Amino acid sequence: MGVGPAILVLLLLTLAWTLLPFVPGWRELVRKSDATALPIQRRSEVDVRHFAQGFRAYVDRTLAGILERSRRSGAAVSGELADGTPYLVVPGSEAEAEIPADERAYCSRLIISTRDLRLPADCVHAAEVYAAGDLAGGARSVYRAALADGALTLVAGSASLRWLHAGRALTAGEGCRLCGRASSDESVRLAPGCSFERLHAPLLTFGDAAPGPEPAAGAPDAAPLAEADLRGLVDTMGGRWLVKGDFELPPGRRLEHDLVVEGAVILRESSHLKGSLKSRGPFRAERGVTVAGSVVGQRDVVFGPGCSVGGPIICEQTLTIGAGSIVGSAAKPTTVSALDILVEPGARCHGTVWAHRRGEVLVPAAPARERGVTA
Amino acid sequence: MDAERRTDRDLRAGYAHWWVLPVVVVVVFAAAVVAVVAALPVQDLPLPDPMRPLYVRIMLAALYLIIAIVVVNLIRHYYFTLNRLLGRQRHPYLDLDTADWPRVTVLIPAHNEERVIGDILTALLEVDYPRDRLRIMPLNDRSTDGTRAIVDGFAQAHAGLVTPFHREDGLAGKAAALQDALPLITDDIVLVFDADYIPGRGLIKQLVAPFFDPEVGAVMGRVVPLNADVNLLTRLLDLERAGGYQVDQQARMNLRLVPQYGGTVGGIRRRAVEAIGGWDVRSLAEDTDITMRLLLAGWKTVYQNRSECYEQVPETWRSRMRQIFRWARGHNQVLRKYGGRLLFNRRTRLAEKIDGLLLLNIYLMSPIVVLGWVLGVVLWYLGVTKPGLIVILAVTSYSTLGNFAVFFEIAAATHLDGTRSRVRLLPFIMAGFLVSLMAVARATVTQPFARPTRNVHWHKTERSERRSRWV
Repeated sequence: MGVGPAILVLLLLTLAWTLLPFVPGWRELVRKSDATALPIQRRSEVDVRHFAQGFRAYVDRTLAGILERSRRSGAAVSGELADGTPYLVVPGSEAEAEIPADERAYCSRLIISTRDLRLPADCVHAAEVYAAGDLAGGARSVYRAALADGALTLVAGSASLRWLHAGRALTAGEGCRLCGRASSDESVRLAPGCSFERLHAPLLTFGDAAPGPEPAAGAPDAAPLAEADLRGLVDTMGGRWLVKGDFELPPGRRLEHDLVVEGAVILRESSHLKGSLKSRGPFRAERGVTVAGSVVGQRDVVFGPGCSVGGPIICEQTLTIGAGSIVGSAAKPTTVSALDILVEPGARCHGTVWAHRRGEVLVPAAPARERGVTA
Repeated sequence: MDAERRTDRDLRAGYAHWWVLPVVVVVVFAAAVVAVVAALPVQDLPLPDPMRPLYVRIMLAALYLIIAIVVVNLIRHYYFTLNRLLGRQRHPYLDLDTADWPRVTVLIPAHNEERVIGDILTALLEVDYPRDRLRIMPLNDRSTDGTRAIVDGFAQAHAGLVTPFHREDGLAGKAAALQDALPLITDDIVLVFDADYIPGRGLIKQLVAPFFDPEVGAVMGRVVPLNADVNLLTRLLDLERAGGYQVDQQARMNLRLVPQYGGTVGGIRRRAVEAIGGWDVRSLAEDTDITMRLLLAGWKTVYQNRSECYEQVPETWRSRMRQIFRWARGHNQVLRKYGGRLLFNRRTRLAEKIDGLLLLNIYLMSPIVVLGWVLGVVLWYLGVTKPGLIVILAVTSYSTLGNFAVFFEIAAATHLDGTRSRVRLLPFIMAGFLVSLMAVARATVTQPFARPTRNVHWHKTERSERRSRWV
């Protein structure tokens, strides 16, 4: 082959090689197999009751007729739904629901009661459980999901995998593991040793102790901290005080501004912060501290006993809430969010508590600072 | 892939030590380069040659500098993409579903928006934000079409909730309109949507949530092209937006760098903006300007990847070039005003300074790349072959239009979005880059000679007929 043709061949090969990557793209341009706009979240699905509400709608839509038949006959009804889901409708009474022994190790039936429902112990419920009245779970049972129009009680050692919702009080005994969501229209109470992920109720109580009185507000008569008192104050622009380095609010003192601290923060005993606070370093509040606004921490956040926080609390690492502390209020529920959340018995929150990795109600014998997060 | 599954992929835990792999790769590569150079005969080493003419040595030095700049940007993009793929993702404010929600004003700047203004007002009336804490303020700036009548109709039907501001005089332009509206607003949180956007029900809460953090001065959500399927340009812009938001912005949020406020589908803290002097009415990029000034004053901008909203992207190359031209001028303007101040600002961390400067330099990359090409070719034909390795590196490092890492970023974004076939259009991104290259180079080269104009005009994407309003 002469030089001329060789060069021509080389050019053609180079051109072909250059155009080769465009071939799949050209086909996609013509066919438009993946050209529609990305689907985006149009409804807000942050609501922790989302799945419970969806299941309730499913019950109303699909099971209403079956429930009515069972209610009228007073007898248990079992069968399969149109989509092949097996179900067992029990009339509901003081006695335990009769689940065949060979199904207890893995019960794939939808279990539904037209009234109250008591479940036997040591069951694994692989499908949803629903009670139109109160639902009392058996010990050491596992629930995929459960919905009760009345109260919902999990006995010690039980676990939920996806969600729980109660129209009235939701109670979890010692050592229960609540994965996914747990919510109530009235209250959620978790015994010591319970682990959780995402909770929501007008009132969330942790531990066996009854909720105590509201912690006393920080001394309103104490002199507010002035700019000159703050070492490391960089500016007070826009109503927020920016502090370089660490910050300490002395005992009993109060601060009436939003605060952003680049270092660590310590709020000493019975001090009062009227605004909100952002801490880039570790945050610690001693006994009796009150914060009217929000607390946002990039590192660990620790609240001692008897603290009060208006909320929300956002922590990017481990949050510890001391005994008797209160977050939010009945009139102004709020959100507590952290990677890990450790709660001492006697604390309470109003609204949502969301632990992304692990939440735990501590057992009273071990103080919070001596415990790590169990995997 | 539906929105929820895509979100799960977005929110996965990630690895704390994701950076080990890229560091190992860089170290191995550097060791290989050193080994190759060490094996070269002395006469072939890329050492300064005092016998060369001065102009050649200057050109070589300039080429080395350009290579360094390109490599820095390349590392930055790779770092962001790997962080997005492997690192721990930060969405600290996403969980806020229960709160004593503060009062908020939603501003909708509008100039001749009769085709779209009704849709956004309807969407805002359906949001799940507490009605008594919400105010919707259409900002009608001297519209000559039916915008005013439509807005007044909504105001009449929803008195107290929709409170329009009809602007009759003052400087033209979005920034000037926003600045004039600011004194009328008493709420501390102000969200801004362009008129052709359609917010979802939960979007207002999602955008307000970060303001519970007293350090936050601005928040930005993600814009998703609604008209992606129109032509090649819209498909390329869809890919670019994905790379820019899904990877770039979120990585900056993960790494606590400088996410950028984009002027729409976002919001500002009124006290913070007032404290820094309000919007710059002569700025061509008032969003970048606000981001930088807030940063200098110690306020942070946060990005919320899940706070998504549809937008209309340009459908013609002409309007795209105008858009890029304006953005380039605006960025360069902000760089000139605040670049030096950012370097010596005591309220920003070193990482923020570096990222902020790289962000502002982004529209200088095109003319730098072009200059690098020219230098490489000229030096080659001048017979400067001794540092051939360097010249080859220069050519290959930006033979993919200066920054292969951007392609990687866009591909990663499509993976995170769960899309499949649209990534095949990636080679066509070069066409988009060529167009951008021309527009940006022209904007940058002519900027020193541009006369300041009295009025900044309204710049907006041409409104096409509305596609399906909700997908």
